[in-house]
Amino acid sequence: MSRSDEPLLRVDGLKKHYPITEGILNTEVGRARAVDGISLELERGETFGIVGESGCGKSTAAASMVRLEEPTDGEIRFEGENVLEYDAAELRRFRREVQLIFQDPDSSFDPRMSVGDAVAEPLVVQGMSDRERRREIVADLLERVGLSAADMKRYPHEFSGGQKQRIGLARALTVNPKLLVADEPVSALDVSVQAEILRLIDEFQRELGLTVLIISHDLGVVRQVCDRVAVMYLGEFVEVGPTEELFSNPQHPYTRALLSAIPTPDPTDRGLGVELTGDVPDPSDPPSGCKFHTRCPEVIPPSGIDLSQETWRSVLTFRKQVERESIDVESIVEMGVLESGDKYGNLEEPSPDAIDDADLKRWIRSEYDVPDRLDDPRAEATVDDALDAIVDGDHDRAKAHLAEEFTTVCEREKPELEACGTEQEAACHLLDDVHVELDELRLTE
Amino acid sequence: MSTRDDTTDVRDVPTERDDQPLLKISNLHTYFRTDSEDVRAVDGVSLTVDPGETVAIVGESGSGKTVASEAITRLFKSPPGYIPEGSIEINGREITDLSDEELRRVRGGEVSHVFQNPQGALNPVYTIGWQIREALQLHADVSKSEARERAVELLTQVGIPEASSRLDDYPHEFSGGMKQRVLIAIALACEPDLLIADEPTTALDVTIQAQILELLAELQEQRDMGMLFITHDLGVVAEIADRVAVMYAGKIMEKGSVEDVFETPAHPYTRALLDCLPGRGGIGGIPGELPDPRSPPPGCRFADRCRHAIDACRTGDQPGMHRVGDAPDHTTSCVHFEPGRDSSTVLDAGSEPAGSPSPPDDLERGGRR
Repeated sequence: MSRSDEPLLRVDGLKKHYPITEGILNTEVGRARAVDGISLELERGETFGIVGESGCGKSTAAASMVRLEEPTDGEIRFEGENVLEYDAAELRRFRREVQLIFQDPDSSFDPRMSVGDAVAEPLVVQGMSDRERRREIVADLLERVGLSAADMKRYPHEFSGGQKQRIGLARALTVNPKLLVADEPVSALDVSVQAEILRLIDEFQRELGLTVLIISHDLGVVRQVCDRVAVMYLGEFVEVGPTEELFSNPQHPYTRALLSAIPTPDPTDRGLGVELTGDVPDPSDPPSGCKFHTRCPEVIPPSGIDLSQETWRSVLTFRKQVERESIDVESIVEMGVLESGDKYGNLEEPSPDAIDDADLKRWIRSEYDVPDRLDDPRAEATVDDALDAIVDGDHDRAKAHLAEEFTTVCEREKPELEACGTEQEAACHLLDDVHVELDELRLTE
Repeated sequence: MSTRDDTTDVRDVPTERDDQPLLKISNLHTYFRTDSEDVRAVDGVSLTVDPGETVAIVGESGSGKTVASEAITRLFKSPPGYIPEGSIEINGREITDLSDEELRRVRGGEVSHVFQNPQGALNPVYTIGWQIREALQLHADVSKSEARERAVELLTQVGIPEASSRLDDYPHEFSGGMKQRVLIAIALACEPDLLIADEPTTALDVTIQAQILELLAELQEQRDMGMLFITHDLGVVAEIADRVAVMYAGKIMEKGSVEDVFETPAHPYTRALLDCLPGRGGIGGIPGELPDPRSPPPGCRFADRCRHAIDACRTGDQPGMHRVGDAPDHTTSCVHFEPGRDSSTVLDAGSEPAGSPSPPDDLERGGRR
C-alpha cells in the first residue's frame, strides 16, 4: 500500500476557514481564513519547518494536516492515501503513524498520571495489552531521551520543563511513528535546554528515519534543525526553500524583514531593520492581491510614479487610511493645536473649521509621514487634491483620486509561488518577469 | 554610545561625573520563606545604573533576574519574600528601609516598571485613557483635562497613531505590540529616572520586538533615562545594552561592557550560554540543571555543570569578582581568573563538544534522585 516514490505527506491547496457567526441563528457573517491554500510535500526523512508570526496560521496548518481540525478544502495524501477519506479504523492507524509534541510541556500531561503510564498511553490506545512489553518499551525510550527507567514511577510535577519535553518526545516515539509534528517544541524553554531538545529530535530523526514537521516562530530554531523551510504569512506560504538558501538569499520581502528583525548576539552589529510597521492584518478581511502589500517595505510603485520607496510607502498607507475612512480629522486637529503653540493656543474648542486649510493639510501629511511636497509633480497634485477633498469632508472624491493614481500591482494581482533559484520558491511580484514591467512602462509612456 | 562607556567604565571609583549613580544595588539578597529552608532567589548582587545608561541582566529561568529587579521597589509578595541584607540606593537615597507609603511614591515616580505580559498588565474594564490618567494623577496634581492632554502626548510619543481617538478604547481593542506601547506610555507618565523593563518583548513577535526595542532606545535618549533591562535573550542584550550582568542561581557570574562580554566571554557559564545560540556552532545545550535554591552547594554555583571545574570551585563561597584582561569594568566570578591562576584554560577552550555531559553532571543527577 505504501509506494516509496510517493512523498510521505503531500498537501495540496489546504484551506481551513473558521466561520464568524453572529446572533441567535449563528448566521455566518464572515470567515477567518486561518489557512488559505498551502501546498507542500514532505519527503521521507526530511525536516520541514514552517515559520511565521503569531496569527499567521502555522499551527492551524499543522493541525489540519493531521486531521485534528477538519480542513475546509484541499487534499492531503499520506503515503499516497487520501487522508480526508479515512474511516475510523484507518484514522486510528494514521494517528499512530503521525505523532505530535506541543509547546507547553506542562499542560500536555495529566498531573495525576505517572510518567510511565503517560508514556505508555499511546501503546494502550493502539491496543498493546502486554504490560511487561509496554514497560520495556517505555523504559528503553526514557533512557534514550536522557532520563532513567526509574523515572517511570514519578509524576510530571517532579520534572523541569526541559525534562517534561523529553518525556513528551518519548511518548510520541512509543508507537514508532513515521511523521513527527512538533508545534513550537522549544518555545517555552530556556536556550540551554532548547539546544538539548533540538539535538535529541535531530538524533532520533537520523536513527529512526523519522520525518519531522516543525512549527516555530523562531527562525533560529528552524535554521538549526530544518532541511527545508516555508515562511507563512496570513495563511499562505510566501516563500519555500532549502534552509541555507532561504536564509542566505531570501527572495520575499517578508522573509527579508523577518530575518532582519532578529537581534544578533553581536554588540558591534546593532540596528534592527525596523522595516515592518503595524501589525498582521485581520485574517477575516485579508488585503487583496499580495496579502503582505499593506506592510511591505518594497511594495512596487505604479509605473510612471517616481518617488523614493519610503515616500511611496507612506503615500500608500495614507491612501489605505482614506479608503477605510479612518482619517480622524478631529484628533489630528487636537494634536496639531497642541503642538502649534501660540497660533491656535487661545481656541476654546479645537474644531477643523477653525483651522487654516493649509495648516490642516500639513498636519494630515505629517500624521502619515507624507512629505510636505512630493518630488513627483503628478503624485503631488493627486495627494494635494485628495487632501483638499478630505478638508472639504468629501471622502469619496479623495478615495477616487488616490485610487486612480496610486494603485499598485501588489494589490491588484495575487502573486503565485514561482521558482527562483534551485528549489527555492517565492510569491512576490518583484520576481515577475522584468520584461512585463518594461512593457507596462512603455505603454504608459 | 562609546563615549558614554568611557565615562562609566570605572564604577567603584568616582569618575569625572560628580553625581552618584542613578541606581546602586550593593550585596542585595532576596529570600522567600518556605516550610523548610528559605529559597535564596537573589544571593548577593551588586550593580549600578547611571543616568542615560542601559544595563541588562541576562539569565535563564530561575536565575533570580526578575526577583532582583522586583526587589528594587519591593514588588515581590511579602511575606514570604524579604530582603535579609543589602542596600538599594536611588539617586543616593537608601530605599530598602522605606515604608510602604513612601515606596509607593517611588514606584511609578522615580522608578517605573514595564512587564513581560502586556495582556495581564492592563485592566480590561477601564479604557486606556483612564489608565494613563490614573498613573498621572496618582503622582502629580493635574486636572482631568491636563491629564488627558498629557495622555495624548504620551501615546503619540510611543507611536500610537491617532492617539486622541484611541483614548476611549479598551485594552482588548489593541494588539499585543500596541498594548506594550500603552504600558510604556503609562510607565513614562511621571518621567521616571529609571525604567525597569522585565522581558518587555518576550511575548511579542520578532518584527514587533524590533519596533519596541527601537522605541525604548529612542525614548531613553530623549529623556536621558536609566534603564535596567531584564531578558533571557542574548541577542536583545547585544542590541540595546551598554553594560550587562550575567546571572545564574542568584549570583552574578560576569559583568562588564556589552562589547567586552560578547567579545571575550570569561565565565564558563556565559561561554556555554553563547554557544547555545543558533549558528554559534555548539548544538547540545548545557547539561544538568540549576542547583537547589534552598541549599546551594558550596563554591561556585555553576561548578556542577562546568567542564572547567576544579577542586577549588567546590569549596568556600562563590568566587569573588576578578578582572578579565585589561578591561577595567569587565569582571567575572570564576576561580580561573584569580590572580596567580591561568585564565587561558577557560578562554582558549573551544566550544562544548556536542552531547558529552560532564561526569559531575551525572553525579549530581544521581545524587538528587
